[in-house]
Amino acid sequence: MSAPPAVNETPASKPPPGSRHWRNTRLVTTLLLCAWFGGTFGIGFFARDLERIHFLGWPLSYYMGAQGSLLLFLLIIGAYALAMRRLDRAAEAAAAAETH
Amino acid sequence: MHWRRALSRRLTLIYGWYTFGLVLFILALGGLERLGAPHAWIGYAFLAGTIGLYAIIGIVSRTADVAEYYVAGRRVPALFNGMATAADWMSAATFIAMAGSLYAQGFGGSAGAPGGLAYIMGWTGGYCLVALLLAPYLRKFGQYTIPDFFGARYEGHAARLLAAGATIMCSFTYLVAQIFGVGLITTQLTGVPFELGMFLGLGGVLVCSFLGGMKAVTWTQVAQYIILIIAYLVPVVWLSVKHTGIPVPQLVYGRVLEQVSAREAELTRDPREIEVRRMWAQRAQADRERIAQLPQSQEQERARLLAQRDQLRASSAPLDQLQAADRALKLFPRDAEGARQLWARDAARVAPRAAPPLPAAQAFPGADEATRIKARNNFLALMFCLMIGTAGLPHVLMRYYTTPSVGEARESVFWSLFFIFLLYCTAPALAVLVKYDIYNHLVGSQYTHLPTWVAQWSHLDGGSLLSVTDVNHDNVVQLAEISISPDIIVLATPDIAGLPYVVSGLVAAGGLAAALSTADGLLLTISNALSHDVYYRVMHPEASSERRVTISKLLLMVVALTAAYVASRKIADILDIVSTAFSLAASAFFPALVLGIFWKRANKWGACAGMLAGAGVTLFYMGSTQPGLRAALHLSGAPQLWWDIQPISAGVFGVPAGFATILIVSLLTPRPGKEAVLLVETIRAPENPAFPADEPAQAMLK
Repeated sequence: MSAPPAVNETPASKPPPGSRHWRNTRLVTTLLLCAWFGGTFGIGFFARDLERIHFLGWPLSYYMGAQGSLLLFLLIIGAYALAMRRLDRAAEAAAAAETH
Repeated sequence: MHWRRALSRRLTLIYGWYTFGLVLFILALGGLERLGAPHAWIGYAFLAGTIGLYAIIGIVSRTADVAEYYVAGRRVPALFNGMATAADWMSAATFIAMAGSLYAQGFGGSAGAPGGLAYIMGWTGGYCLVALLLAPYLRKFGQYTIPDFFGARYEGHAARLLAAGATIMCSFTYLVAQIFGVGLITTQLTGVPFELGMFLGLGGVLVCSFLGGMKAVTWTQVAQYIILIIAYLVPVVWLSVKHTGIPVPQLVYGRVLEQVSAREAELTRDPREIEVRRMWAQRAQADRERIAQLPQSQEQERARLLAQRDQLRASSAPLDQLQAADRALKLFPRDAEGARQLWARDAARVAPRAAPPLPAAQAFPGADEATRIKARNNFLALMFCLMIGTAGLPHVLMRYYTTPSVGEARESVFWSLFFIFLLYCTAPALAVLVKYDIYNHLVGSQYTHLPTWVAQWSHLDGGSLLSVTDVNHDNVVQLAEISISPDIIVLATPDIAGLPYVVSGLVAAGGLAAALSTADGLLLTISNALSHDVYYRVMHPEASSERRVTISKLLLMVVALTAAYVASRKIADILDIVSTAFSLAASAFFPALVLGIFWKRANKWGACAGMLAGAGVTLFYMGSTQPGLRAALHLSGAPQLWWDIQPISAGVFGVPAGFATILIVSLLTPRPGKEAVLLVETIRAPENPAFPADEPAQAMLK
């Protein structure tokens, strides 16, 4: 999975700008996938324990399954779009700095 | 950049006016109803109005250009692509059956039949996988179909053809279910025969996708989304006002759920309910005993019916009683095998009614810990298949090829889920509010004063959709005396809420929009896989672009007619067909797609073997465990379930099998070529805003 060794004039100590972007992308993806896992399988697995807690009339497990997890999914996808937009801009800036 | 904003503004204006016109149209029909227009007219007006609209959008956006036809010119703004994806995604099953499943199965169904919230979480959670693992990379790749990605990444025709085959298999099964739904709803809306209804609905889809391909389908799907969401929300908001006084059902049904649960506990203990449930249990037992005593029991029953008829005839009883006895005699099977089937069917129908209702809110109820764990595992397995299947269905993934940039593809997934969320967070509210209504207004009422909607719906389809019978002859409706098909919950909600007929028509038109929008997307996916991947890429790479589009349009017709033919045979249960499509898509596509993007070492041997292994394991498990398929394959004996997982979740075994096979076979065979590795690097690299995202990938594909 590691980036191919740099063969161009970039010094070996400094990784090419693209690989930094990819490393950060993977980090963002992994973190958000953990949140997704908790919101789906976590809620499903512990549903009977969460049931004892009540939230505005709903048992918490039912609320999460019917609404809460869905809001979490929206949050995950929104956060991903924003984070990736920032990463793309940073990579763009780094590429521009290099050409100058 | 500038044209994007201008286009968004223009589209907002167009669809704003369209929504305004739609509301006026509904109000006008409501006014006509008040003036005494017959219900059939309103049904026809909805059918003609909506299908005519879809056809007009098709004619306006007709095209013969390849990029317009396959990917709508890659100009669809994120928000509108989100809306179109939501319509593409939400099928007849979502619109009609999901709230019904929540009504019947509560939190998550039972160990033998998982469901309920697993559908809600599974069909939305899958979008996290689409957003994080697939959509931006596929958009960066920027070709036309999903098999295109397999052909480029896994170097050659083998992977492309396998992917095209899997695309056709899972999209076609799904398409048949949609067309079946179109037939059902059209029949319900206008009263025309099933086959005619199917072709009327199909006509609208065909004009649209035939003339304008992806471009027309996209703009139609946006229009269909607006219809279906209005149709879904109106009756629920009304019910919410009726029972809670607040018009935002999604926020307040928690309290209603509390009351429903309390009432449910009461009904479970009620002595009259227990009496009725005991009577159902006795009837099921009697059926089983008669089956055990075949063939004598068949002769006895026939003799009894004969004697009854003759006695009625001798005593010159009223004509209707005599006719009923005659019909019972005629319908009774003449041989032991027929009688066995009849009684087995009756026992299967009656036995579940002997059990108390599944709790509306409790997670994984069960008599003992083992049953509860089994129910939980099946719930998780079903959710897994639905999520991975969502991320593997080609007709959804294809939609992310149509945005102008990678960034917009990411935003577009957000909007897709947002628009899906609007309907999905309403479905449980609908189920709970309808349950509240039935528990408090129907249960306990007198048989002489049944609500009007009960009479209306129990006439349909020979009483198989709704039947309320006074089993213990106390003239009071018990919950155990009500049999309601989950499929009618949504369609009957306007009547339960006491709304005018125009709303019933609107809900049916919404269901039609849901079925047609999905059918449109699926038709296009199948005909593109055939025309683009099989015909153009493999058979005739020299074909001109006009020829490709023409071939695609012809194939579209052929596929539509074949699917209509299969649907008209009414062969299997719709939900079974749809679940097959999900498990199949999950195990055939997801591993090869994800590893193709995230693991450079994955090669064509691994991908091909993995797709075959994944789909093979899924199909094997389904074939060997699902009752319908077992009967078709003439398998005898009891099915062998693995870890008690139901056949509906077969993908839970197929997906890991696919991943493992790709890993092992790839490592045992040579590394992928330089071009495939370069492709992976290109789709991972950040988007260069200086030129559109599809150019680098396209340039390197030659």
